[in-house]
Amino acid sequence: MFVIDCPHCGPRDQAEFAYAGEAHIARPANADELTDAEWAGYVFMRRNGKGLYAERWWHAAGCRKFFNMLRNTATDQIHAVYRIGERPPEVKADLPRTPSGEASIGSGNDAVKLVRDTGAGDA
Amino acid sequence: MNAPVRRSPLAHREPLEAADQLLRLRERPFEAKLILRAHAGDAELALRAVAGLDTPGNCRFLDTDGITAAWLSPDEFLVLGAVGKEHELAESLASALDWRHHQVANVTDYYTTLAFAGPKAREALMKLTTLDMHARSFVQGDARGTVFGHCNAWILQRADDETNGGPSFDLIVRWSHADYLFCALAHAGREWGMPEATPRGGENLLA
Repeated sequence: MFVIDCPHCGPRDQAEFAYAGEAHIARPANADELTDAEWAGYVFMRRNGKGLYAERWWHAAGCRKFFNMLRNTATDQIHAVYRIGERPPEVKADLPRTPSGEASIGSGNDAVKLVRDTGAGDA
Repeated sequence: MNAPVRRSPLAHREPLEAADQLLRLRERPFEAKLILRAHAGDAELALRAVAGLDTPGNCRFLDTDGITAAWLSPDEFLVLGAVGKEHELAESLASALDWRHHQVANVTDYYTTLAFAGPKAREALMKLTTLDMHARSFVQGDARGTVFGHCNAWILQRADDETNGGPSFDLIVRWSHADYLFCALAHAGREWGMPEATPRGGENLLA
């Protein structure tokens, strides 16, 4: 359990919040021109990285507003909380050192990763 | 044909009291409840015109002449009034906002109010919620939405801790959760002699 600082209500327990996916994914303006693969990229493909991650949260039990958060997915440290429509602040997140010398992003076993260009999804 | 009878969600519950009035729990049914949604500036205009109230700050409420305005979110306010006043209140809010973008929803029968008071009320509430209920961080005039046991509710602190008879809280809870919350509060107060109450729906009580 950890405490999340809602931009409207102040610090509250995590139990009051709901996760709402990666932040800053803009709906393509030219939806009718996209291929199915490009549309799937927008709908399904997420960076899901290890380390600093911009995500949306929803204060379900409090003000019922969405907001953005910069969270380190490796350590659960919350670096910044900011409102919808604002730019993410510049922060630096350190990943924990691991004995195996893991790569900073992903599992480290990049050789077996299926790499696919998803087009609009990573915007 | 039977005459229409207004029935509160806790009509089957008697008010409960712990030993020496350490805790007092009862329902205050049918009080007027409205949800006002508008931009903060417009809401201020309406609240001032209807009740002479300023806009409450974040997580706060203000009251006067039996009308209470509580902050729920940046563009959402809970307006509470006396029994039977909901239509009058709704009309005056709507006419004050006139052509401005707004919504006034009558939720009088969607929620009910539980009045929970007594010198141990704060400690009993602490057992049910993760909200910081310490007297240092939750004071008279505060209004917050959070989770109590298994259900959501809005909590307002009416009387401060110095009041004779202890602080008093109003919990605005959904009709269908009211019986559970009533029993959960009674259960939380059992160490101070609150009578046991079993939820009709058979829900598990926390704490």
